[in-house]
Amino acid sequence: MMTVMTETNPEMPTSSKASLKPRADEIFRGLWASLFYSGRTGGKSVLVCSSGSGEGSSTVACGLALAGSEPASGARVALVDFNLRNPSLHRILKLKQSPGVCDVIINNGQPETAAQVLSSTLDVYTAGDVSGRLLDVLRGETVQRFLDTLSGGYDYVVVDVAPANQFPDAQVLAGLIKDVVLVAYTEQTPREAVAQAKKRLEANGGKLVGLTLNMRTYPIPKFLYRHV
Amino acid sequence: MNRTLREIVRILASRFLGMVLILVVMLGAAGVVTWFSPRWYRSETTLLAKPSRMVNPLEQQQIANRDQVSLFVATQREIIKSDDVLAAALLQLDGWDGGGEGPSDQEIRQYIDQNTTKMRQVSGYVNVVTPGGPDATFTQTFTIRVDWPEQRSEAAKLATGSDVLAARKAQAFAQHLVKAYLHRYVQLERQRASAGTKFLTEKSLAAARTMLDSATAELQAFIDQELKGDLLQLINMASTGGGLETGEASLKTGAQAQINAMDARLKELRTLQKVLDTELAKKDSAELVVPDAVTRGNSSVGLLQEKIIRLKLRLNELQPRYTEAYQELRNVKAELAEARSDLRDQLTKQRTRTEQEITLLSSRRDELASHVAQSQKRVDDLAAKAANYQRLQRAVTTAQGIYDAERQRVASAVTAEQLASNPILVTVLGGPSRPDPVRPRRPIVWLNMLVALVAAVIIALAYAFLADHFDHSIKGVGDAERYLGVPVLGSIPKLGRGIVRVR
Repeated sequence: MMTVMTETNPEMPTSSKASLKPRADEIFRGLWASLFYSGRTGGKSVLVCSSGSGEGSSTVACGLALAGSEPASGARVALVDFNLRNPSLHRILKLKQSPGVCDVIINNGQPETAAQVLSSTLDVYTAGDVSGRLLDVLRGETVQRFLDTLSGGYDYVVVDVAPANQFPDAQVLAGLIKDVVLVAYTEQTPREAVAQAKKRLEANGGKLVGLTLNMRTYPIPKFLYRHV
Repeated sequence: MNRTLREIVRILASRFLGMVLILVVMLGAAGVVTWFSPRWYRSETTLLAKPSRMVNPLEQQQIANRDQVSLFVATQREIIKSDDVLAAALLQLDGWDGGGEGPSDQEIRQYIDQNTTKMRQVSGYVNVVTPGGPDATFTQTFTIRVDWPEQRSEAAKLATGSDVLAARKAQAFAQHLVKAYLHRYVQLERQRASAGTKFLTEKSLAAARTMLDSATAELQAFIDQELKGDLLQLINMASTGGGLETGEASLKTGAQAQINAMDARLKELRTLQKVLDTELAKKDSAELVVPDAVTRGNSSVGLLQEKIIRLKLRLNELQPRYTEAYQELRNVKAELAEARSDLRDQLTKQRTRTEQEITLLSSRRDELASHVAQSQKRVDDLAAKAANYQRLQRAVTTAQGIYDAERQRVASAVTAEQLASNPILVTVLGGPSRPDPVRPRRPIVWLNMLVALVAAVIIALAYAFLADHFDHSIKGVGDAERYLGVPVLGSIPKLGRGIVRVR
C-alpha cells in the first residue's frame, strides 16, 4: 500500500519514504515533546551531538526528525547532517550523500538545491562531499546564512553534528544554533566526558537543553523495582 | 534511605551475572578440589607423658606442673616432627635393617639430604594432638597421629589390595615413628643431662673455687702487709666484748686525770710565786712574812724562822740588861739582822726553785698531752684496720659457703645424670591403631563448600561494589542530574537493530 503511495506521489521522486518502527516512534515522539513543547528551547532549531563517537547522535537526530514530522501535526521539519567527519544520515535513510550541505556552502548555492524530500513535511540535507577543508566550511559566513534560510523555511530544524569532544564542529555550530541536545550512551559514556562536552559547548555560547540517555538499561528487575 | 537501598539493589542487579559467575566458579572449584583431594589412612598411637620431676639445678624458680606438662608436650611435638626422627622412621619403613640401635646419625643425615621433598611431605602426614585441643594442659597423654595418603597413581589403583597395603603402611610407619621417637628422646635426655653436669662440674665449681681462693689470698695479704703485729691485739680486742672502744676510753681518762693534777699543782705554784714576789718586794727584811707552803716545803726556812724567833726572845731578854751586856746586845742584833737577811736569801732561792718547778711541770704536762693525742691516733688506725679485717673475713666465709653449695649441686647433678641415662618418662599406652582399609578418611565436602560459599559471597559483593565504585559511566537519570546538573530529556531503551523502516 505504501509502495503504491510512493509511486503515486509525484512530489518526491528522488527519495524513498521512511518511517519509525512503532515502539521507536512512541519514544521519539515523547522526546520531541519534552524538547519543543516544554519551553526549554529558545528557538525552533536544535543541535544534536554526543561527547564521543558511536554514541548514537545521528540515530537520535534521525528519530527526532521522523517523529516530529508526522503529517498530522503539519509542521515542516528539516533534518541537516552537519556530521562532516563521519556522515551517516544518508546511510540510515538510504539517501544519496551528494548533493548536500558541503556542496551548498562551498558553492555558496541555494539550500533548496540540496534538499531531499522524504515526506511532505520532512526534508533531509545530507552531508554532501566532505573531502574538502571542513573547518573552512564551518567558519564561513555562508553557514550562518544557510542556517538562517533553513530556519526561515521550516518550522523545526534538527542538526546532527560530529562528537563534541573530538572535533570543534559542534562548538562552532553551538554558537549559531544555541540549543544543544547531548546524547550519552548509558553505562558507557563516562560522566567526565559529558561534563567536558558540556563545558565545550557552553564556551561558545551554546545552551545545553538536556541530556538524552541512549541505550538505557534497567538493571533492577520489575518485581523488585516496585519495592525499592 | 529509599534511594540508597535502590542504589544497592541497582549495583547488585547490574553485576548480577558476574556475581553468579564468581559464586559458581568458587563453589565448583572448592567442590572439585575437595572431591579429588587425596583420602588418607589414619593410625594413632597414644602415649603417656610423665614429665621428669628432675628440676634443672640452675633454675631458681620452679614452674607450675601444668606449664611443665604443656611445655613437655610441645617439646615432644618438636622432637617427633624433627627431621632426624622422621628420617629414621622412613629408613626403617623402606626396609633398613641394621639391627640394634637403629640407623646411625650419618645414615640419617644422608637420607635427609637426599629426600628433602619427601621429608617435607611426610612431616605433613604426622601430627601430635592432645585430648582437649592442641594446648590442653590438664592431660598427661598425647597422641601421635599419622595420616598416610592413599596411592594416587593409576598403577597403584589398579593393583588389587592396594588399599590394604596403604593402610598397613600407615600403621607400620606409625610404629617406626614411635620407636625412632623414643630412641631419639632418650638420646636427647642423656645429652642434656650430661651437658648440664659437665657445665656444673667444670665451670660453676671452678668459679666458686676461684672466688674462695682469691678471698683467702686477699685476707692473707692484708694480714701480712697491714696488720703485722697488731693481729693479736685486734683479736683480743674483738674477743673481749666491748673491745676497742673501752680500751681507748680507759687510756684517755687516765691521762686526763694526770693532766688535771698537773694543772692544779701548776696553779698552786703560781699563786705561791706571786706571794713570794710581794714579800720579796718589801725593803725591810724584818717585815717578811713567810707563807705556810714555803715553811712546809723548805726546812731551812723553818729553821731560820725558829732562829729569828729565838733571837727575838733573846733580844727581849737582853734589852733590860742592855747596859751590862751591850756588846752581847749588839752581837745579837747583828745576828738577828743576819738571820733576817738569810731568810730573805732563802725566800729568794725558794722563788727560783718554784720557778724551775713550774717550767719542769709545764713541759711534762705538754709531753703528756701530746702522748694522749698520739695514742688516740693509733687507736683510730687500729679500728680502721679491724673493720677491714672483719670485712675480708666475712668475704672468705661467703665464698666458702658458695663453694660448699656448689659442691653439693655437682653431687646432685651427677645423680640426675645417672637418672637420665635411664629415663622412663614416656610410655606407649595404645599401640599404633590399624586403619580400616575399606573406609579411608576424606575431607568433609559440605563443610568446605560452606566455607567456599561464604568466601564467594564476600568476594562477589566486593567485586560488585568495587566495580561500581570505579565505573564512572552515566547509569541513569539520577547520575546525570547529580554529577552534571543537566536535566534528562528522555531515555531511549535498547530498540534493536534499525529503528527506521525505509521503503
